[in-house]
Amino acid sequence: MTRFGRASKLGAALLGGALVLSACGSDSDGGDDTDNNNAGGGSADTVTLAWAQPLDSYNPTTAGANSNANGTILNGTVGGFWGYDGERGLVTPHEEFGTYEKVSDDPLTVEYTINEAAVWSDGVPIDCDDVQLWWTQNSGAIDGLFSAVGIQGIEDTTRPECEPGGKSFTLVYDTPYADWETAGPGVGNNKIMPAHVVAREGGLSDEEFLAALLAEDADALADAAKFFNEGWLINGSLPDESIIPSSGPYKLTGFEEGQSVTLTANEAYWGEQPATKTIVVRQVAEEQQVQALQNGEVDVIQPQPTVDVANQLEQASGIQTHLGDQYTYEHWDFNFDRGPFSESLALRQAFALCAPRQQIVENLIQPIVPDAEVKNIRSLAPWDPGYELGVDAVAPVIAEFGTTDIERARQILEEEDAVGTKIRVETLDNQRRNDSGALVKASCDEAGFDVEFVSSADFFDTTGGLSQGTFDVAQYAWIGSNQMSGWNSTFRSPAECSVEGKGNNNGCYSNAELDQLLNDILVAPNPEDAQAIAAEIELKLWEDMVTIPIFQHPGITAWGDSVQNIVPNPSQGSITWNVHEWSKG
Amino acid sequence: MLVFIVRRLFVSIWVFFTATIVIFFLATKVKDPLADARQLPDNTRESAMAVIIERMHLDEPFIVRYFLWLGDAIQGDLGVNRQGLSVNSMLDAAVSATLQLVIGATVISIVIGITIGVISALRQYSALDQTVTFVAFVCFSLPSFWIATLLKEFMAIDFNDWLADPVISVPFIAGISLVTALTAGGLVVGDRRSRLTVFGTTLAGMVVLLAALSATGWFNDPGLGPIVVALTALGGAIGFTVLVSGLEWAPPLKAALISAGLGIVAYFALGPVLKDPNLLTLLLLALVTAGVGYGVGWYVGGDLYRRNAIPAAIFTGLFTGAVIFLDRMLQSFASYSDSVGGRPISTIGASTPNYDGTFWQSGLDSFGHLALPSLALVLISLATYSRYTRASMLEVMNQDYVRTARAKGLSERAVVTRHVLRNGMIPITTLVSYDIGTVLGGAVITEKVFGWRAMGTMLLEGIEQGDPMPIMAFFLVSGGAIIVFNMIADIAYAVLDPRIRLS
Repeated sequence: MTRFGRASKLGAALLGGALVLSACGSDSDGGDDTDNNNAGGGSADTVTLAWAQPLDSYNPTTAGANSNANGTILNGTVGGFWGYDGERGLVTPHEEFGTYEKVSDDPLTVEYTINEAAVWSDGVPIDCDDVQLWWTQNSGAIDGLFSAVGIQGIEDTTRPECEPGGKSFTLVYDTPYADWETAGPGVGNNKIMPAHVVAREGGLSDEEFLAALLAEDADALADAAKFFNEGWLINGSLPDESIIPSSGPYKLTGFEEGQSVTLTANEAYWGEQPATKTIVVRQVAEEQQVQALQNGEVDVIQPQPTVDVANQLEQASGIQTHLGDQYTYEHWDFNFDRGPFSESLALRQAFALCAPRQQIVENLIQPIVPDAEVKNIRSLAPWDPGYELGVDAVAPVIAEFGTTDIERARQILEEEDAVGTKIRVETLDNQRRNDSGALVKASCDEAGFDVEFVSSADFFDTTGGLSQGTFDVAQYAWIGSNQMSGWNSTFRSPAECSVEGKGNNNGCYSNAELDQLLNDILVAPNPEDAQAIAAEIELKLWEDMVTIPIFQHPGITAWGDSVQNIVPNPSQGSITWNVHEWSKG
Repeated sequence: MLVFIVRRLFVSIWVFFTATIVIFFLATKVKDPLADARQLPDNTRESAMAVIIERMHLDEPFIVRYFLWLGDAIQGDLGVNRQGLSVNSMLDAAVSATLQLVIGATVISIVIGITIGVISALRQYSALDQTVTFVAFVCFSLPSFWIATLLKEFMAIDFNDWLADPVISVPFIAGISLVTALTAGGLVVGDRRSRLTVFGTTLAGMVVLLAALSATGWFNDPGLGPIVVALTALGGAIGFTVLVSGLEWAPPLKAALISAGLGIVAYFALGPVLKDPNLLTLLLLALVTAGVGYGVGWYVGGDLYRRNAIPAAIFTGLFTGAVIFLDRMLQSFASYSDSVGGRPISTIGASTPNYDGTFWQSGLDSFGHLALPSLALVLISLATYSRYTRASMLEVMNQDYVRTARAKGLSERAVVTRHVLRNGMIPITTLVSYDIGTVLGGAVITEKVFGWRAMGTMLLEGIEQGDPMPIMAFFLVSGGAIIVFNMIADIAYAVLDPRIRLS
C-alpha cells in the first residue's frame, strides 16, 4: 500500500517538473523544418469546392453517368460551343471553342466551326472524327450503340459531312426544332468526347474508326462502343492519363476514392489560362459543409438549403452567402384518372382557393430566402426570357384563383354539393413536404374538404403512390429547364394511363388542344414565337386547373471571403460554370 | 480443439450461406433502384432507366439475381453497383479506410478504458470512482452525431481560431489546473495530508506551467527539447520498474535507467536519421530498441532478476522512443500548421488533398484528420470497457485466493498485477475480440459526419440506392469477421482459462 502511494507521488512530482521544464525546452529548437512548403488547403493557388456526391465517370454523356456530380466536377475540363452561363444560366455561345450560326430556317440548318487552335490536352486536334462520334452517339444511330443521355433533337438531323481533320460541319434538321441551340455540342452532358481515345481503346486506327462510323458498322465498332459506355468509369482510381484528355482550361489529374478530385490547369489549352492553377473538389456530406467552410477546409459550398443551414451561415463570419432560386419547382398535380377531381373543374378550383400557397412560402421558404414569392408560371423560371409574358397571360386566372380564399372555396363546395369530399394528398416523406401537407390539411379542411395527407418514402417507386395513381393531389417537384423539350411530355396526353404508359404526366391529363400547342412549341422557328406559345400553354393549364405551381426551390451558395468570382447559377451549368475564373487572394 | 474448430467452421459456413440469401432478398426489396431515374426530365428518363435495369438485372426474378451474384462472388467478383463501378475496388477502399479510422480508436479505447476500469476498481466508491463512472455514462449516452458536431465546433473551428493567438485565459488556466489537481489528489492513496500535498503541488505546478506555455507562445511552435525528453525518459524508467518488479531490488531499476540513458543518447545521435524518416526506418528502430533493451536486461539482471529486468528495460526503451517521436512531431507542428493555412485540426476527410510533406508533416496531417473522429469514437466506447473491467476486477478482488495472497504477505503491487489483473482480464478478452469483429462493420454515423467513406458509408449508399451489390459486399466482410472473431474469442477463452474445455 504505502510503497505504491510513495511511487505515485514521486511519479506525479516528476511529471509535473517535466512539464514545467518543457516550456523552456521548446523555444530553443524547432523551426528547422520550414524548407517544405506545399499546396495544402490554405494555399493561394488552390480553390476547394465541397460536393456531396462522388465523381464516378469521365463520360457524363452516357445515360448511366449523366449525374449532377459528374457534370459539376468535370465542367472545367470541357470545351463546347455553348454553356449555361452567367447568374441566370442562359445559353451563351463559347467563341473560344468555336462558332455557330443558323443559316436557314427551312430546313433548319446550323453551321458550326471549331476554333483552328482547339486541341485535346494531349495535343491531338479537335476535329471531324470527334464530331462524327458525337453525332453517331447523340443521333442514336446504329441502334444506340454509343449510349447517350437521351433524345435531344439530334435524331432529327442528317449525318454532318466533314473532311478528316476538318474543323467545320453543318447540322440540317428534318423538322424545325425550337431547342436547336442547346442540341449542338455544348459544355455538359452532350459534350464532344475524344474520338482518338475511343478508336485506340477499341483497337482501331483513327482512319478505320472514322470509316466505321461513317459506314455505321456495328461489328467493327463493338469494342470501341464498349469502351465508350463503360471504359471511362472511375473504379477506385483515375484511368491512365492518356485516356482522359481534356478540351477545357483544366484537366483531371487527381482522384482519391471518397475523398477528393483534383483539376490542374491544362497547359495545352489554346485560350486564356485559368485564374487558379488547381481546383480541388472534396467530397463532403451536405450537413457537414458549413463547418468545413468555417474551418477553411473548403472554399465554396452549395448545400441543400434548410433553415438550419441558412441560420448557421448567417452567424458565421468571414463568409459570403448567396441566396437564390433553383430551376426545380414544387407543385400539386391533380389526378384526372379517378377521384373527385378527375371530372370536376369546380372542385379543382376550390382546392386552388383553399390551398395556402402564400402561407407555405412564408412559413417554409422565406426563412431561407426572405424575398421568395409564390410561383404562378410552371415551365419557366423567373429569370427565363418570356417569363413576364407568361405572367401577363395568366393574370386573369390568378386574380380569380391565385390567392387563398377559404370562404369562396367553401361556397364552391356548397354549390357543388361536395362538402366533406374526401381527398388524398400524397407526397414524398420529408420535413418540408410534411409541413406543407399539414398546412394544406388545416386550410382545406376548414373550407369543407376532408383531407387525408399521406407522405411515404416510396412515393416515387413503381409501387408508390405517384406511379400507381392512388393520389387525388400529388405534391412533388420538377427539375425545370430552359429547353422547351425539357417539360413537353409532362402535359401531353398519355397513350394509356398505366405505370409504363403515362410517362411524366402522372395525373393522366389529356387535352387535344394542348397537345397541339405542345407540338407547335417544339417546332417554333424562333424564341419569341416559342415564348408566346409557352404563355398560351400556361394559360390553358391554369384555366383547366391541371396542376398548381407552389414555389421555386431555394438555393444557397456560400464561399470564403478570400475567394473571388463565384457566381451561382441556377441551371445545370451549376456553380462551376465559370470555374476557370475562380481565384483566391 | 481442432475438432471444435472444424465443427464450428462447418456450421458457420451454412449459417453464413443461408444469411446471404436472406440479406440478398431484403436488399432487393429495400428500395426501388429506379426511383431516382424516374424523376429525371422526360427526354433522358427512359435511357437512364434502361441502363440500370440491364446492369442490375432488374428484369430477372430475385432468385436468378441471387445466383448470378453467388456465381460471381464465389469466383471473387462482387459485381458492379448501380453506377457500374466495381464493388471489389469500392470494398478495397472501404476496408482500408475503416481500418485506419476504427482500429486506432478501438485500441485507444481498449487501453484507456481498461486503465480507467482498473483504477476505479482499486479506488472503489472514492470520489474519483464516482466521477469516472458519471463521465463514462454521460459519454456513453451521447448521440454520436451530436458529440461529433460539438467536437467540430469547439475542438476544430474554435481551437484553430485560438491557435492564431494562443493565449490561455485565466479562468481556463484555473479550470484545467483544478481538474488535473483533483484527479492527481484522487489517485493518491493515503491520509488527508498527503492528498492535500499532491493536490497543492499539482495545482501550483499546472498553473505555472500553463501560464508559462501561454506566455511564451509555445502552442504555436511546440516541442519538448532535450531536457524534458531526458526527464520523461528517466521518469518512465522508474515507473516501469515499479510496475514490473517494484523498486526494492536494484538490478531491474538499473536496467531500466540504462535503457533510458541509451534512449537519451539516441535522441542526439539519431538527429539526421530522424529528420525525414519513413515508416520502415522507425519500425526497424523500434525493433533495435527492443533488442537492445533485451540485451541490457539480460546482462544487468543476472540470473536472479532477468525475468523482471528484461521487460523493464524493453518498455523503458520503447517509451523513450515514443517520447522522442512525440518531440519530433511537435517540432514539425509549426511548419505543418503553416502549410494548411494555420488550421491543423480538420473536420472532414482522411487527409489534406495532394498534401506532400516530410514524414512528420504527413503524420501530423493524418493526426489532424483522425483526431476528432477517433475522439468521438473513443468517448462513446470508453464506458463499455471501463465498466466491464471494473466489475470484473472487483469480482476477482473478492476471491479467496486474493485474500490468501495478501495474507501470505505479498506486496499490494504483486497482488494486483499478478493475481487480480491477470484473472480479471479473462472476460475482457472476449469483449475485445467480439469488438474487433464488429469493427469492420464500420461506424456509420461517425464516418458520415467526418467525411470518411468506409464500410458504413458503403452499406448506407447501397440501402439508399436499393442496390444489393454493396450491401452484400459489406455483409460478406462484416458478417465473416464476426463469425471468425467469435470463434477466436471462444478459443482465447479456453487458452486463458484452463478450466474451460472446448470439445
